[in-house]
Amino acid sequence: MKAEEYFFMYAFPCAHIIVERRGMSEEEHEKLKKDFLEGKRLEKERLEKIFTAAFRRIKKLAERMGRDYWDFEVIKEYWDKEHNRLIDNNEDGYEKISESLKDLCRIIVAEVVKKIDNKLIVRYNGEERLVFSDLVPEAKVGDRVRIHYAYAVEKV
Amino acid sequence: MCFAIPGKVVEINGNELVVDYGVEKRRVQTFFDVKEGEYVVVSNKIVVKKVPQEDALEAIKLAKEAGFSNES
Repeated sequence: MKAEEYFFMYAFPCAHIIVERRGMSEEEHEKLKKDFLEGKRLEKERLEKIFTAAFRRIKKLAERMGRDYWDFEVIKEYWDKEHNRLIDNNEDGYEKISESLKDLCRIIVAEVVKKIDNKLIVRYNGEERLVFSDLVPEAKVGDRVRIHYAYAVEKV
Repeated sequence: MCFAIPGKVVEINGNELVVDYGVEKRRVQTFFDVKEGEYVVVSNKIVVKKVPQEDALEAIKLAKEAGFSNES
């Protein structure tokens, strides 16, 4: 998988919030999703323009790692560790957000307990959440999936 | 930074809810048991998660201060 695809898979769940704040049009959002699911090339410039906060942090991380910020290892490190670390340490604005909402921002491993069409009910830490399975259509009850906001992103 | 803005459940008809965002009300669907007055986070017109009132009010206040809302 390319760095652009890996980045987008984890950033996409946040895109709808950006739409709601009018940072991106509904049309652009739909097109991004369609392009990704159809395996079309995602332009780096396009992603950087939409996900400004994520790239600000990724650039800092890349500097610390001594690599280019579009290096696959940097993007992977960001979503695997750095993203949750910033939230857990209340850095970069997360100090203002309450725990139950920060939870939506974290990348969490959850277990699928129910499947309803393109929706999954997942459980983690005794809590339940509904996530969409568009990015992981093969997910089934009993699977463990990594979730971000309202989407299952990857099977574990 | 990206975080979701919760809304308050003001009407329930089976699994259909009306959620109040202050500036507007939206009709959404739920697969969880929710009660009137509870706060929820919604995505694509479906309830994603219930949120404690205290956390929800804090998020709504923060969103107002930052100048963004759930209008669309």
